[in-house]
Amino acid sequence: MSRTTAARCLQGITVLDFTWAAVGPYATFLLRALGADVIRIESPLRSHLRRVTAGFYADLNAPKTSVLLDVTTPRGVDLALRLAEHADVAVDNYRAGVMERLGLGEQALRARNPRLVVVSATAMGATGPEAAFGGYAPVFSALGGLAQLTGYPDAPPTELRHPVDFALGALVAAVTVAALLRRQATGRGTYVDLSCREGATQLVGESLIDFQLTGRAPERAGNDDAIMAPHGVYPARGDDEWVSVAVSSDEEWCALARAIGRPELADDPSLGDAFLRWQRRAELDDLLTAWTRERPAVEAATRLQEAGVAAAPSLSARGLFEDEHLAARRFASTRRRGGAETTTIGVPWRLSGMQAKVAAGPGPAKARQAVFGGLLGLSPAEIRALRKDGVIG
Amino acid sequence: MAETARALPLSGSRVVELGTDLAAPYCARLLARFGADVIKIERPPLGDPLRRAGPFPDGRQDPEHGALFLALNAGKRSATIDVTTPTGRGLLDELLAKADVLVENLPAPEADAIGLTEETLGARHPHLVHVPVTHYGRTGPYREWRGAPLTASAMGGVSVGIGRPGGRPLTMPFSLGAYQAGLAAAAGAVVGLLARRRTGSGQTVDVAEMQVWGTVHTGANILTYLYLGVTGIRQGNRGIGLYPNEFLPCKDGFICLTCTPLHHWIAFLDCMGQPEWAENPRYRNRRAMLEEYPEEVDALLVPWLRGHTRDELFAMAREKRFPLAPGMTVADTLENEHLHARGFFDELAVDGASVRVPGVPSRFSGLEPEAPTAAPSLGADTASVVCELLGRTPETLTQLRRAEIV
Repeated sequence: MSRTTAARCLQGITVLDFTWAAVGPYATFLLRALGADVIRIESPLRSHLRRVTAGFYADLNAPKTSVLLDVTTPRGVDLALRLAEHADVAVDNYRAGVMERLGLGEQALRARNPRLVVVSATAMGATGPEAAFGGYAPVFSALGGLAQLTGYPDAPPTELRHPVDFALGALVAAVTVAALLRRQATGRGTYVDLSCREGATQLVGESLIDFQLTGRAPERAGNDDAIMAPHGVYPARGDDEWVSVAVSSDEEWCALARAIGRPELADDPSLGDAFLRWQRRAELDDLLTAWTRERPAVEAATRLQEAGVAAAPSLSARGLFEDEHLAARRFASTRRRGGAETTTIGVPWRLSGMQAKVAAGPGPAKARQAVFGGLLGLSPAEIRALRKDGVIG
Repeated sequence: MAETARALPLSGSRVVELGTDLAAPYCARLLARFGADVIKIERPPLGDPLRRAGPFPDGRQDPEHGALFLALNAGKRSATIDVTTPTGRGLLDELLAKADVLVENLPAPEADAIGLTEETLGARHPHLVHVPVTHYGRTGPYREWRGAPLTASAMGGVSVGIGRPGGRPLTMPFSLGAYQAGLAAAAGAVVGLLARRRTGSGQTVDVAEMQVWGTVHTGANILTYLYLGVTGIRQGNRGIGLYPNEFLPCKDGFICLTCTPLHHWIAFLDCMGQPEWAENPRYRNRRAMLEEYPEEVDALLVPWLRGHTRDELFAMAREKRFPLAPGMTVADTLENEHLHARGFFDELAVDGASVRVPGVPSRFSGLEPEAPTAAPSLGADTASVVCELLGRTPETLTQLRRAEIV
């Protein structure tokens, strides 16, 4: 029995990509990886960020069909609306109100195509008193209450960027697919208003519940856990090498004590339950550090895992590439094209059968022809005239 | 525009959850909010250990009132079935035959033992979208390793990028990794359902929390490594790129100031009453400011920031439109008028008390998200699942109960 792959599960779906920065481009990157045709509308709007983050930008957008279209001109807007007639999905992540001012708001787009799924991922959401405020990931992390909880107890909150951008990009892709499922059932498109700061808050919901029921206001606690101890990142042998250990039960504590050559601690009644260990967590951290310092991170983690303790090396970016487990799961793929090697990070799921594929998109001339000639049926003369007037590139 | 069809995206879909703790239940909760009928299968006699984890109202330990369990399991049905017994496993198979999605987080050896594998499920239930969500995934050499959000974020490459330069790497706070994994699993489940509509066939969508981190962390570290050969940079409260991009103290806490385009920096200096600084090359070359002398510039900003509260600074930023955000505490978040105006919070009853929990961060037009119904008590729906859905008689149910299978 063959189980068909989802690699092409969005085949035949056309996505109009009005996104910039990271949340939106990552969302449409995932949709592309799942097989959608993504038409990326590059416009003079917000071009500064592209220059600041060129490599990063290229990586997320390379697989898409990119065209230059000046949506700040009436003719550019008209072309974008005509493209909407041929699309299934439109995604943007400008601040609330920007697409409306351009004449490309959800109502204008859906008036052209009632089957269109429009997803707007704004910093604050499209409604509410702060709707018009924009921001990048550090802003939604700060407003979402996530940054305030991340960091050392004695230092300012941590600037969080890509882990938050990419998590929200994945959420945007998920709601887009959910909206497409709904369209299959109802035949109608929909408009999805997604708030990035709410996306950050949902990740720390536990702290809100805890505060309301116990009155304890959680603060930055480094690597300390509210219940588990030892729970932390411990230095291993070598420069900037670390191993993470989390002990969640009495059984794991005893296994840890034996594995680090201190079996007497397993029988010590003053460390006999989670709360007793938690109260003496600083002392236990020192004890464990004395053991981890003597060994490479992978060896320390493997020995603890063999004993039945949750432990892992803290991998760096290079470590991710060298890790045999991730390699076995085809986390990244490297292709050779001409003389150059390109490495692409895949999707966060391992789909049975095969991996979702990301290949380079067409060059500018081919993309222009495919979108304006192929999809909109413009003649070569019309395309030349639009280029001459600077409406398209 | 008036919507005629009000169906939720997953109306009519049935999800079976064999989940404990956070990630798998959170995934299934999102699917429930999207309209799916979620049946949570718990192991008798105690059920999901999260029922006993609290926090509890007034500190009174009561497995029916653990707030975190109630928040993550609202809107589901609960049936107790011991799927490790042959009879219980048979009931699970009958249930899977009537389900669209299976979400589970069993340790790999337990999943193998009862045949929750790609091969067995693919053969018995080819229509099923099977979503295992675990710390390290169901394939690869670490599949049987033990894990926690801490170890998964470490292996996903996040920890080494968080913390002060040269200092101890930090994990993300709370169980953030589990929520990220649950979110990725929910996305994987809807992708699997969409694929099934195209191909007629289900599949396994294997989610590993460490790989979710490795993937979502792509931008910060992996590309820097690929393009520049630089690995694992910790920068404390500062980010990369151009100054300012950092947390700084103010009168009543911290603010995050992140001005990438020059005009945002100029707008900030205007608010400070120092517009002429932008004409001085030393305070205009923002790459040098970040890379060479950030402390010097911080020292110029902080005295002014310390004279203003987070609310005052945020009001200025909204008026002049540059990205400055207050570092919101838990209490601030719960009281925030913007979130209340958007109806972000769900009100959840916990033993008579009302608790605000985060809702879904996306709204579909024409669909008011329904407030979730309460979480089920342990085994509340065992009878309806076994008798109505699986067609057993009340007598058989009694026998199954006596044998402690349900």
